[in-house]
Amino acid sequence: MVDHSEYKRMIVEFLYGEITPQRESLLLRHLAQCEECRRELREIRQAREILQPLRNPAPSPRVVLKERVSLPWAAALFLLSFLFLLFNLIYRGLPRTEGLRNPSQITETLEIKEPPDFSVLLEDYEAYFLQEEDYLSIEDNRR
Amino acid sequence: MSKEIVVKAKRGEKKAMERLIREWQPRLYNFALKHLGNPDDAVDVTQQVLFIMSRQLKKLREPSAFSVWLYSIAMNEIRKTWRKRREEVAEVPDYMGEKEGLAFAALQLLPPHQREIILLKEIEGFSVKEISEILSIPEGTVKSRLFYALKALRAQYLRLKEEAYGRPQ
Repeated sequence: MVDHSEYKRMIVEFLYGEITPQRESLLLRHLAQCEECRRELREIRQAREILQPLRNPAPSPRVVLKERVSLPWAAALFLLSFLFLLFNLIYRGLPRTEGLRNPSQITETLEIKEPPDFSVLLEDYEAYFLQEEDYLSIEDNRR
Repeated sequence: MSKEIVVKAKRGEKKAMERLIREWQPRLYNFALKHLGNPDDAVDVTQQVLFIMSRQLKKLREPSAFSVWLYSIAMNEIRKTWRKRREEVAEVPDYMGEKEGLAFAALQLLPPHQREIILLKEIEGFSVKEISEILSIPEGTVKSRLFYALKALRAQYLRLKEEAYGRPQ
């Protein structure tokens, strides 16, 4: 004996084309004699029709992919830049004089040890962080 | 969606991963929007799901199960958003027409467990078996829940329609 809750499950299988032939013939026989289940079937069909307009896709935002630089690497890069900056500041501030014999040699040494442009390094670091934040960012183009 | 793209992305091929993301993003956004009823939350969830997917794809054992796996992630993220949300912020999007707006509003009035099952079946077109895997519930429960969810949706739709246009003669 099949109870009504099982017929409800069969109605779902039937409407979505997921019913076996045996269960379908069982359901159809039952529907022929059960007014309540026929009404349930009609109502479920109506509900599916109500949902029809929702199948239109919504205007969707656009995903922008960017290269990812992981946070540990960005932090390591920052630390290296900082240490390099510190080292060069100390080096420039306290030049070693041992072994230098005359002022021309000092000038030559300082020219060779010209430090790099740290502002560029720091900008690079900021760019990495921006990329981290912006990774997989979604641009809202609905407006 | 070919299994080949998933396999390539799983191997770490950047182009394949980009294609996966571009192809699935609109579907996930639609799903999240219709579930959460709020475009900002839908964008956040979509972004989070795609991010998790890009990080976890290598762990997916069976590439043919990609869509079921992706929607399991989406359901988790949507539920997390629901828990965080203190108040109802659903609103009918401007682009929707009359019938679509009413259907959308009726959907938002359902409890989340009914809404999710309707969206997975009616909008995303998953089979009962796939939904049972996405939601980790038995197939029999999927069928019963879907039956009662559709009945509830119809009732809410008719109520909203009556409020908007009056009782039909």
